[in-house]
Parts: sequence; structure tokens; C-alpha cells
Amino acid sequence: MSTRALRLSLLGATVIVIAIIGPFLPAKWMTTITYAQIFAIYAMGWDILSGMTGQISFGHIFFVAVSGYTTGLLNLYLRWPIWATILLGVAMAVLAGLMFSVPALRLRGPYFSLITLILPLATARLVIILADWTGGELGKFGVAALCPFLDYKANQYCNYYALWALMTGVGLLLIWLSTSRIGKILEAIRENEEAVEAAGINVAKYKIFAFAVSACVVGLGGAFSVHVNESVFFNSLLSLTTSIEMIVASVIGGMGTIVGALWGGFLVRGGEELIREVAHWKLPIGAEGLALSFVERWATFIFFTLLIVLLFVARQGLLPLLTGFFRRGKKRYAS
Amino acid sequence: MALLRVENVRKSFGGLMAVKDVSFRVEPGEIVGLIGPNGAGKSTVFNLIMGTLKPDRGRIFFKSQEITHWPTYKIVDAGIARVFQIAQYFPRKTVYENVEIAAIPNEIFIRAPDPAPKTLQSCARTGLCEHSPNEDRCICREELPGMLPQGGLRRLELARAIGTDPELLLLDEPFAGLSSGEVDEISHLIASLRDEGQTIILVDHNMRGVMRLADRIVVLCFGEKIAEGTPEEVARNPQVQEAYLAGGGF
Amino acid sequence: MDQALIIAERIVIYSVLMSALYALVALGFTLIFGVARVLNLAYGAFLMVGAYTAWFAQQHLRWDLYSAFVLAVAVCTLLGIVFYHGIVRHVQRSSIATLIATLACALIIEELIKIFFTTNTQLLAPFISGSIEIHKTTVITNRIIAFGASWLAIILFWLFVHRARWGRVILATAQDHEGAALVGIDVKKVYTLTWAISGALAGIAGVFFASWVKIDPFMWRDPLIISFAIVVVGGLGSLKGSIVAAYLIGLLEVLMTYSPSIRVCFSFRCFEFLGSSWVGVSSLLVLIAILFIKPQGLFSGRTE
Repeated sequence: MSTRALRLSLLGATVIVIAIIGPFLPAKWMTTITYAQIFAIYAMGWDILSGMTGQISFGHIFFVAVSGYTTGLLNLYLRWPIWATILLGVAMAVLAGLMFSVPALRLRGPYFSLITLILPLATARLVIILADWTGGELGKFGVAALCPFLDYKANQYCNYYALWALMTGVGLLLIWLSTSRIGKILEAIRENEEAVEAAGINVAKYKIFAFAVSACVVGLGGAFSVHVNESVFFNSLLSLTTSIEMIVASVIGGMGTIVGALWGGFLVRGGEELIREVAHWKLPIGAEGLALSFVERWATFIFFTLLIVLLFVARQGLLPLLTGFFRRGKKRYAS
Repeated sequence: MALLRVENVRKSFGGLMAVKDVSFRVEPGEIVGLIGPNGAGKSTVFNLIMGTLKPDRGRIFFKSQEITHWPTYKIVDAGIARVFQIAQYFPRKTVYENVEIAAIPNEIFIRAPDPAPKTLQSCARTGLCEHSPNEDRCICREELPGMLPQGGLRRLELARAIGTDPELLLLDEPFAGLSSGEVDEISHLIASLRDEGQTIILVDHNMRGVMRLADRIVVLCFGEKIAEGTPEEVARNPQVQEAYLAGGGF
Repeated sequence: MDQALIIAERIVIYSVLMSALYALVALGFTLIFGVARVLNLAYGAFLMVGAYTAWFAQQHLRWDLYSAFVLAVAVCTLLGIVFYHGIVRHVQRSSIATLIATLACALIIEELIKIFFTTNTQLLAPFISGSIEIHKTTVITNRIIAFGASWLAIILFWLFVHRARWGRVILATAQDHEGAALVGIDVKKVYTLTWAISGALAGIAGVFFASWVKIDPFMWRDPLIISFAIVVVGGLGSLKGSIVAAYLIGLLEVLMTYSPSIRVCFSFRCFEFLGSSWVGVSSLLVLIAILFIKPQGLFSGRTE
């Protein structure tokens, strides 16, 4: 089975499962999975750039912020329809990505990664200075909702499946791209840039292309998230923790596989919710049972620490591990 | 009309003049040997032609276009390819996938032809095929480059280079690290490429190999061209003999 | 005109005072890179730990500030050592892994502080309260103490590195790792010592930072940006360069944050041009400018 077919099948299986279980989920989990789908989009967007070319971006949350604030504020103040503001938000994210990537890609390895950190930090500062417009560290409510339904349940279903459609579309596109000849070049760039250049390929052009695609995907996710939340919220649009979690999700799933990043995304967001669930348990210890409610406060810390440990332990990723079992000799081509 | 014209090219690093006023031409269909003792500037000349380095002074022309300041990929697309001294390959991709990269065009937004035929052609041409027992078809090898012997890596480099359809091939120490059997094989391969019309510039320390293959020789010493001519002429040249005796020999 | 002179004087005095602290912070950051080749993104968090330790000792343990100060430095020194042995030592081989690990640790420390101390802003009582007048400028006394302490620390450090035996060993290791190992220097011990010193410097800086900025779980980000900018401008691993760059960036910082701010409004919504909300902007602008003008010039590592 070719790589493309394998990844598409895994994607297909995963999204079908997610589509089917939707109506059976309790409300809280439906929301969680909706947010997990958004995050999976972020992770896949990160993967098509950093997972494939090996240029590790630390500041990818920047594209969420650019797109999110653009769509949210345009919608809030100018009352433009959301399809227009989302498009503009994504366009801004891509533009910002292009402007940044051209000088930044001249830097190698860790120095490139370091510079990507400047983006979210600078944006955060800008947002705080312009707090009267952006709502500063709190945010602003009143952004148009993604779904037009008045009934809460209907709205929830709508959000869930709208994001599902976006996630599936993005997944299909990125898997196709990553297994196309363009993907082959991006992977080759990761392994030996000089050799790629010597094969007549303009390496810079491909890196910038990957950057633009990545910015577009992450920007789409960010814009949608703003309308699902009906607000621009600093902690979700500019969270450094989320930026790192994108890296974790993709690495755990298997860098460059796209499907792996999707699985990693669900692991990260779903896992966090699971840890919070534990806070509702009572251990059968003592007369009244030991309430684990303290876990609530510690949830983020515990989970994030676990993720980082997992990152370094499972460096190769799950997907490569799995597909290692399925592949035998690859005599694919013959003349 | 010369295929390649290098004119008065100069390059220094810090205080060291690596290449000083070097000029030579390469005609289509010939093999030019670039020889000289260690540190003569041979690899630097290759780097300058390929655009990896830019000369401080001088110009380089390929098929009457000036390529002096072009980026490497553009020079490759124009028709010059290089085989590196230390093989540059993709360690986690198979031999087939390594050669395939050269067959993929540079443009993103076009419908590209299937790279498979070209890739297999390159593999066959450089002897990287595994033949299936029943048929005569070439199946490009599927192992990782790390498993290949030195000779195999050289073939891989060559396959990748000719995959870009070059008119001029720069071979940087193709015989380095090879057993004498492998030297003969690669030598035959190079000669057969020339017989098909490929123009080649060859740099190596293995004098016998170079002298046998080359139609013309250019001799560099401490960055300057000290001799040029047929292998016989150059071998008899007293300056050349002195440079080799003094500089480090064969 | 008089007003302008007063403002100018205030800016000059403040930047002279503040830059000493920045130089101290940048010193700890560049020390680790120069010697151990590690970009410690958790360095700002070390500072934060120092600040919170001193505050905790003062508020909850009811210690006097001098003891709290000593505790803060001790804790940070220990933190540096533990950080090296527990984490950095295992990921050093890969630059990217080190960046991820140190940044993640900074975020983890931020989370822990949020849990224990909430996100409320805290204030640290100064060594000597009140302020004094320097010519026409009012300066909080504690800031002058910060200035003095910073320079004292920098000078002591310089003396240590050039006169003391272990200091020279550190310098030698910074300049040539392989050479140092060849002459029998235990590189691991050198690293441990370096991380300890770096931690100590962070502790000192952290306590004094509290007299310039407020203490909250997010206070580690600005010092990190500023030291990063200083170290990039001054040259990674160069002590003299860091001090000069610290004063340059310090001047820019103070210019932006202590100049009278101008309120710009568009139909009821306003923002401040310059002023206290512009912390770190100068560093970010410097970094962005360098990125666009000469990216390769960002990281030429000389060691002094």
C-alpha cells in the first residue's frame, strides 16, 4: 500500500469514527471534541511545515492570533459577514507568514526556531497596547457565531460537524500535498538541503510555499475558533503553551505524517479533559472517600508536564511505529 | 562555440587567494581534466562554477549566458550538474527516492510528468539496477544509501546528477576512496557518458585515471593556471613536473 | 524647554540605573551560552523564581529582606544546578530539543506559580524605602541599591573569571571545549559551576527586578526578550559586548517606557504611544530590525 493510500485510509477511518460518535457524546465531551478538532487543524498545519521541512517553528500560535483577531475585530466593529472576515483573516495570516518567512528562512536550525518565538510575543505586546480595540488580556465578546441556530443543542451539533468538515478537508489536502512530489521535495529538504539545491530545485521557494500553506491552515482553524467562541480571547489566541502543544502533538504522532499530527492533537486536547475528569472522582480510601478535586487546579500543570515527558520519550512518533509493522519490502516501481 | 567559459576568475578567503585569475574554456563533447596539487583551488573552481561561491572578480559563461551570479538551482536547471566529493544524499530515503528528486521539476504549480521513467533511466545508466530473475527490466534499488559501498554511492551521485539532464557534468574526485576494481568501473562509466555526448570536467588526484580519460588537461597550482594542453603535452611540461614534485606528487 | 530638559535628565538617569540590571540579567544568559552552548529559554523563569522566593520569605515567613534575599539567591543557585543535571544534561546534544525543553520548563514554572500564588500581582518590600532627589529627578532609593548591587556582581564576576582558578577554568572551557577536556578539565564540573553561577545571578537580578516591575506569573517573558536582544546585539558569549549592548537597549527601553506617553484616539477608542505599556517593544523592534537587515549577523558567537 502506498504511503498516500495508507495515510488517507487512516484519516478516513478516524474521521468516520468521529462523525459517528458525535450524537452519542455527552454535551461536555462534544464541546471538547469540537475544540480538539480545531487543535488538530493547528497541529496538521504545523506538521506540513515543520514536520516536513524540519524547520521547527515555536511561534505558530502567531497565525492563530493574526487570523483570529482579524476576523473577530472586523466582524465585531464593522459587522462584516463571517465568510468575508474569515477569508480576510486567513489572507492576513498568509501575508504575515510570507513576510516573515522570507528573511527568517535564511537562518539555520535552532536560530530560526528562536526567531519564530518573537512573533507571538510581539503580537501579544501589540494586542495589549491596543487593548481598547482588542480587549487586551481579557478579550472581547460579541463576535458573530459560526452557526446561526438559537437552540443550544443545535448549535453544538453545527459547530461539531462544521469543524469536522474543515478538519477532514484540511486533512485530505495536506495528506495529498505531503505525499505529492512537492512533499517529497520538502522531506528531502529536511534531510539534505544542499543536495536538493544541487538537483536543480529552488529550496527557498519550497520552504516559503510550505510556510504559506501552513499559515493558511492554522489561520483557518484560528478564524473558526473565534466564531465558535463568539469572542476574541487572549488566552486561546496567544497561548505559548498551545504553540508548544502543536509541536508535541505532531512529534508524538509522527512528524511529517499529517495523520499523526491529527491523532496527536486529539491526544493532547482529549487527554487534558480526561485529567480534569479525574478531579470528579473519589478514591475508595477512608470513610468518605478521597476527593480528587485538587486535581482541577493542578490539571494544566500535570498534563503539560506529562506531555513534555512524553515528547522526549516517544520522539519517533506513534504512526511510524505502527506502519513499521505493516510495511514489508517496497518493490513499488519497475520499468 | 565553447560550452563553458571561465574568464579571469578570482576568489579569496580572508587573506588567502584561493583562485587567482583563472581562465579556461570547455568545448562540447570533451572531457577536461582539472588537476593540481592539494590546495591548488580545484574544488573552489567547481564551487564558483556551480554558484555555491561567488567570485570576487571575473565572469563565467555557460552557452553564452553569464551565470556568474546565478543561484545554484538556476545553474543546475540551465544544464550544469555536479557530483560532490563527499556524497550528498538523503540518508533516510531509498536509492530510488534519492535519484527521483533530480527528476522532479522546479515549478510548484504545474502538472508535472511522472518522474518514474526518468528516474529508472538514470538508475539504469549508472548501473544501479537490480534485475529481477525472470525479466530484463531494471528495478531501481530500494535499499538505503548507507548500505551501499563507496562505488555505489558514486553511482548514486552520478545518477542524481544526470537526472537533471545536464549538458556539462562536474565530477569532483570521482575516484576517491575506491578500490582499483571500482576505479575501472567508474572510469568506464565516465567514458561511456562522454561517448554519448556528455561534456565533463574531471577533478581528481588519481593521475592515471584522469590522464586516460581526459581529452585536455588544465593544471592549477596555488590558485593559478600553470599549464593547459593534451595529457601528453602536460606530462612533459617542466613546470608541471616541478609543481607536483614540490607540492606533493601523485 | 525646561520640561524637555527635566524629562531628558530623567531618561538618562533611569537608563544608567536600569541598564546595570539588564547587564546583570544578560550576563547570566550569555554565560550559559558562552560556556555550555545552551540558549536557556527558562532564564527569565529563574528570575521569577528568585523574585517570588524573596516575596514569599518576606510575606509568609516574615523574614527581613536581607535574609529573604539570601534565600532567593540560594534557591536560584540550586535551581540552576538541578536544571542542568535534571534536564539540560539529557537534551544538550540537540539544540532544538534544548530549546523546547527549556521553553517548556519556563511554562511549567509559570503554571506552578499560578497554582501556588495565583495570578495576582505582588509587591516586594524594598531594602530601603523612599526616594531621593538626584538633581531634578526623583529616584526610588531601592533602584540605586539595585544599580550598585548589579555592578558589584558584574565586577565580582569579572574578577572571578580572570583571577580565580575555577573562573579561569570556566573561561578556558568556553573558548575551547575539546582543548579543555584534553588538559584534564572535568567539563561536567565546569558546567555545574557555570549553571550555579548563572542561577545565582538570576536570583540577584530577580529580587531587584521587583523594584522596577511588578511580580506576577508572567514576569519572565520581558526579561527573556530583553536579554535575548541584548545578547544578540552584544554578541553571544561576549561579556563586554553584553554590557555595552545592555546600556544601548536599556536606553531605548527607558526612552520608550518613561517618556511622557501620547494618547491617540480614534472615535472613543485610544491607545498610548510610548509609556509603561511599551515594555519590551524596543527589544522586539531591535530583533525584528536585525532579522530583516542582516539575519546572519544575529548569531556570530565570539567568546570573551
